[in-house]
Amino acid sequence: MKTKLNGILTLLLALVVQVAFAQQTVTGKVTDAEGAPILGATVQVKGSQNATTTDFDGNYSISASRTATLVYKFTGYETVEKLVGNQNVIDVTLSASLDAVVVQAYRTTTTKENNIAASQLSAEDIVDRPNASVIQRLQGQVPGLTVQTSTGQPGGNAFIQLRGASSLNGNTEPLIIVDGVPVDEDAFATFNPNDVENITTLVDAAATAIYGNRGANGVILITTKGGKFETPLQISYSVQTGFTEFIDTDYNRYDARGLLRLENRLGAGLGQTLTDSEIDNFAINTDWESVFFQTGVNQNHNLSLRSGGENVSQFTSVNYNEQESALAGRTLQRMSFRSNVNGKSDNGRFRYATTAYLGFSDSRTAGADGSGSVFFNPIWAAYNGLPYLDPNVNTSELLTGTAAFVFANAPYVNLNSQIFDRDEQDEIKIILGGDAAYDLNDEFTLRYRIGLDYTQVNDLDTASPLSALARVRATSNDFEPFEGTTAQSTFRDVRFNSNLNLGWAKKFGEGTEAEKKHSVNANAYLEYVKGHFESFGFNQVGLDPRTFAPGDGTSFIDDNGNSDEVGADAFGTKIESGLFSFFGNVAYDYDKKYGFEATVRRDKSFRFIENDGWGTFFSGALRWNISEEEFLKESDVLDLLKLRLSYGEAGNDRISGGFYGALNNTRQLFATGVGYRDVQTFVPSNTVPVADLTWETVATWNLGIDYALFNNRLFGNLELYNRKTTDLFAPQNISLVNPSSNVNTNVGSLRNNGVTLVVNYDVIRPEEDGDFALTVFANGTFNQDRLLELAPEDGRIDNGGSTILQEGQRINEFFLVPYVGVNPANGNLLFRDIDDNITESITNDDRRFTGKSLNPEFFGGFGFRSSYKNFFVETQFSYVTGTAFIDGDYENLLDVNFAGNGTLSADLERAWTPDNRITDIPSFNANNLQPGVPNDRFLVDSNFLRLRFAQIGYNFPKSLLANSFLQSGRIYVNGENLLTFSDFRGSDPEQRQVVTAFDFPQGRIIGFGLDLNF
Amino acid sequence: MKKIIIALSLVAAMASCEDATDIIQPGELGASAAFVNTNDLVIGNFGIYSVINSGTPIAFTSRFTDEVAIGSSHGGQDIAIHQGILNENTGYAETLWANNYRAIFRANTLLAAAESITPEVDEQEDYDLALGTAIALRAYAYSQLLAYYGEDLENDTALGLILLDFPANASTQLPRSTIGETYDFIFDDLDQAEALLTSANVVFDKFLVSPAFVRGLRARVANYRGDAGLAIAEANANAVLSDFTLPTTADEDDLNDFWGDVPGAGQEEAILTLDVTLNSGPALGSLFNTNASDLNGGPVFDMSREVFNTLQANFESNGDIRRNIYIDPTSIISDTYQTDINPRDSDELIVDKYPGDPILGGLQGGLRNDNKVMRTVEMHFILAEVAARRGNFAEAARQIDLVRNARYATPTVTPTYASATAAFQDILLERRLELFAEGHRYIDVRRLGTLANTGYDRDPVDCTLYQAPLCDRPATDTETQYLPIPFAEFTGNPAISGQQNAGY
Repeated sequence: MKTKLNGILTLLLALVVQVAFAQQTVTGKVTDAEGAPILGATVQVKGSQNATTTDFDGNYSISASRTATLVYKFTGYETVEKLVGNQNVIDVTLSASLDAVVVQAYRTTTTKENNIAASQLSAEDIVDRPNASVIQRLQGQVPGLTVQTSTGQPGGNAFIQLRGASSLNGNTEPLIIVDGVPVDEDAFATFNPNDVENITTLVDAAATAIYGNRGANGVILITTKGGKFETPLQISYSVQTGFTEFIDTDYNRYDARGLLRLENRLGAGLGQTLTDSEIDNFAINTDWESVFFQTGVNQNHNLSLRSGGENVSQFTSVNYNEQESALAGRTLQRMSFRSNVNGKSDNGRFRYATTAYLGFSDSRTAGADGSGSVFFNPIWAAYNGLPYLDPNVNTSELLTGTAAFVFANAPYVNLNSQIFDRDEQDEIKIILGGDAAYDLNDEFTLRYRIGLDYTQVNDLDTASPLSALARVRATSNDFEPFEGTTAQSTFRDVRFNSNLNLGWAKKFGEGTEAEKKHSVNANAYLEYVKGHFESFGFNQVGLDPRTFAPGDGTSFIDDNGNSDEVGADAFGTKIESGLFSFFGNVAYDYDKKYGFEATVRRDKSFRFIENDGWGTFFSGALRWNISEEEFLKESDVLDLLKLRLSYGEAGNDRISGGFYGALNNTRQLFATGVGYRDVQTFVPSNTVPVADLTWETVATWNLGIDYALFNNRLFGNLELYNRKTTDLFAPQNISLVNPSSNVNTNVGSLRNNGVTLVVNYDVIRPEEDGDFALTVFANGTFNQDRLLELAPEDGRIDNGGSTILQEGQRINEFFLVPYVGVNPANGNLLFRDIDDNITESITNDDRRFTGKSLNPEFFGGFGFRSSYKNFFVETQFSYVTGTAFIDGDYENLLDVNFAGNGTLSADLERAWTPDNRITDIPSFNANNLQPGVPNDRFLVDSNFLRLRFAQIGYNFPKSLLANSFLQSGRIYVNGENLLTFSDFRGSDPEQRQVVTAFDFPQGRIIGFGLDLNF
Repeated sequence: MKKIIIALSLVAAMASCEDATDIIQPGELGASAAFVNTNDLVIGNFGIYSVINSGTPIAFTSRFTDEVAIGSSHGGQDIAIHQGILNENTGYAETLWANNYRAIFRANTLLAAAESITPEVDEQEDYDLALGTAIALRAYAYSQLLAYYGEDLENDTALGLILLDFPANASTQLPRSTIGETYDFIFDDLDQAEALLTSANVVFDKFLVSPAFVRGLRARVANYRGDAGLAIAEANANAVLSDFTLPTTADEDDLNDFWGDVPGAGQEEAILTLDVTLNSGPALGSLFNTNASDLNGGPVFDMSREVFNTLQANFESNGDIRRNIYIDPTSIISDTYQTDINPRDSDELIVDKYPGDPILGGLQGGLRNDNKVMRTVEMHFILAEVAARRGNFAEAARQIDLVRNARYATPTVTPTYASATAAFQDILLERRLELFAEGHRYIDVRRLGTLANTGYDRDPVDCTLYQAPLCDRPATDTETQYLPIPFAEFTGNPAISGQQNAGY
């Protein structure tokens, strides 16, 4: 009733005022700091409903009285107020705001009212980069986020973690949400990065509690572009061409003559059959790296359309992307379409948004990356191929008969497979989201969100009957002249998410709505998550070369009675996962100075139904905007100082990491299948059940300071955090009298604590357009991970491998016997035993901690952005320390047992001999080259500093565009991974592997592009 | 707007809690539905056989001992094993241990389930068959574990095995029992199995466990015990030989058919042969050759030169028919292998003891043969050993002669042994040839090596094919005596702490 009365009074007042003052028309232009027109800014007569928005050129027209104040607002910019007075033309420049809207979980707030630890990237940090994966583009840009990419496959999966690993075996990757729809964090090959409007990363428990178990490792919110109401059609087109190159290794491989001499000495390979003079005159010298790695060509076209009417706005994009990696034949082709629609009812009480993304991609891959299957892994052949073999003699005859499949021929076999074989994944990705909100009255809003993440992959893996592999197999097959195999499968992964939300927002206090100082916002939610995974396929052996075509079944040879081997076998899988949650959240703000927020939630996971399954988790946050206090409000130096403190818990039920992993670990199950004598039988499952499995809980303390100084020249934030995981999932060793050596169970606790600092500084601010501008930025995170307790009595889970779990130590810390050097007396390896004695023979008991693991300790990124006239330059470095891995490639190149099979490193020339006793390379005949105990001889720091991204470009001058159909345009050249500094002698130090060997490295990409706006 | 509210409420109502949380995966088979009746027990045994039917013992034995040498297509497979490196981290130490305990786990699961199943009146024989089979297979798994891991087979107080007659679970933590307790456990099982299989009236089938196999296994295990097991070993070996007789003259075609799995061949040779099909059982041929057992098939491990030279000598002197059966005719036999520049490629002795089964066909068929777990000839070796231990060298020689008569086209003169060492030497030599690549050599050398004063004996040329100083190896080396208990057992089972085999 009171509200209504106020309305009537306002109306009366307005009438009175109108009588008193005459109206005049005010026009003007709203621009940003660079002078570019702002489209869609609202211009409102303060205290009235009278408002308009700026048009495409930033122009507006509104009628207002002389005493009126005009309010200029645009998302992401500081609001400006101007008194009309006697002006008819008012041009306004809006400066970018620190109050950029932070998308917080299911709500949205601005930074002053924001209680959470979050960081934000805008489209310009993402767009136009030559990398095909939006996730890989984030490396070094988000404080606390590590992005470790272990493959050079375009669009390949990157392993991401926020603030370290919160679990041992459970999932440690953050939840990724695209326009409100939770999506598979590992499937971004088919996602178009150009659609991204911004990416917000939520790290503390206050931010993530609302996502429950899925948000325990942080949340990455990807918001794609949308149209704005009342705006004309805007068309953007961008095109990019790029080149991907292999980053050279530095292993000092032998040239042909050098290797032949070595083989001659060792009595192996071709070298042992040649005389010294034959070797000296040997003509062939092949660099197999350059045979298998080449310059890949990339291209990208992106067209987008945005427009908006009175009650509906839309964004549509179409993208085509083609990317070749540095490794021949490994490509990504992608086509995508997006349509985002926003709408509202006339009175604005009902609002809705829909998002639809359809993507199709075709990846050419291979199954054996990183494996020692020499005939199936071209990287093995590139790294280890014998330099005295001639790639040009690779004829069909070569790979026939006796010598076809000797190791030395692996490069030829791989070249042959590149021609004849195909490994291809066609992926269809659909992300559908709907979001509808209805204001029941001024205080209550009912909102419903629904989302679907659909991934379908058709996998084709075929070896042509004409390939060398198939022909040679066929000669060993007495009954069919042909071999050849085709494996085809389809999987479909549908993840459904439904969220019903009742919100209540109210302000209390004196004065108008805007003046009221107490603001309360409360929400209740009901969430339902369900995942369905289905797959089926077959493996066919026996293909008729007359009709063979990859993926086609015409050539399939049926089981013809001669051989049981030809024919197809079929398989299918169907699994489900689910989660049900209800939760509530209350936020309170006093005068934008003090804030408080609390969340409580109850989750039930299908994984623990034998053990109730329910988990209850709390979180809370406090905020103090110190700079809003009277004593600081007038400060010239301090623009913003905000203190945040939060604590929260979140559960994790992904015991074994995967969304569909560990589906029924609480139950003793039996598996059916073909047993002895082909009898259909059943056996107890090899997964040993643990009936009392329960939620893993991550509890996070976070203390944050947001700051802005010197007229917002220096700004950023500082975060201190402590994350403790209890009831930790880990594989606990059990006696081998069980059918497994370990069980995944709740075994202990661990902690990640650390600090994150973000600094941005405008070194030189332009006075006016075209002046020199320079901004530097840096972020760094120091994260320390510690295992606090583990269930076994000795606090240790040890598999005798290179890394172990031990109370008080880092997670999966390398645990190795120190290698000391070569014994000058006999050329054997020398190690340090546990008592610090030098020894030649070692045991598991001699292993010790190294302080290194696969998880980075200190990491982040830095760079600068600069512009002058129409030119702009940008660089971004990323760095990682605290990591290491075992360099299996180098180990392989020093393995003299391998002479004759593959090339070796010329470092072997330094090998110990009675005449060369002081050296770092052991005798060829050392008796402990394979000591059988993990040691650090080949452990190498994989720390790196990388020029992750650099760009230089030119904006087309306005004068040039004035008479054209173009609104704006730019041209640029950029690159990724241009420089890398690392101790690692291989190609790519980003590998996240205990042992890296024959892995597919990321390449260096150079791109050229053109962006046009119509 | 009411429409919208109604629609929203409807959707919310659809999302009921149970649907998302009470999920039993499609295709789950729970414990209560698994073993329900007698037939389930019969069928369940085929899942125990599946684990027993393994190529791991042959792979480990041939590569670690002196049975094979590196072949031309070898690319590093098991190189450390071949170089004689064996410690608690070695994969085989874990696989052999875990695989046999998995068989025991499956047997115990079946036997525990059987306690709550009462056979129908006409099912008693099936029920006895099922239990007898499971118990016999458990005994076999323990006999393998004993042979590989028992610390001292002839000392009852030495460290034996972890003994379980119930299904283990995640909290099972047990120490090793003694050797004596282990023997008691195995013999108890064998007695029960024999009684059950006898009352089940099983018709002999070489592909299934039988009373004859149980007796043969009893002879084998008793023989492990040395002097303490002589009487049992002798009695049971003789009992088996009352049903199975080796041929008295050598017939190459017959023996060839036997190893080529021609149906009906070698009926007197096999006591238990584990059937290998395309879908079940190990591809034994692939332990030696990549694609096929011929020169073009990618030989990974060739026959060791020492074994070949002995076979060749026997072939030349007495027409040993095994020479042509064990070695593929496409082999390149270099007379000058000792001086060849590249003997790995110029001297290729292709192992053809597993020539493939033409009935299975195809590439896979060419790598698959039945797994001969217990053969008649072993009983003669056991009797020879028993006789040698008793000092009855003439009887020992007679038993060895019976074996040679079955394999030599031209009969040889019965040997005479001047000493126990000589007798054991000859027994070990003949076992090396006859049981080549059948997974016996490691156990044979551990048991008889010291008595015969014989260790691993590799040709010096074979030793040049890998870079390591180790070549021949005395039977006194710890690594030739027994395997280490795998490291993983210690980390998962604190009760076994301090019970590693001596020397590891």
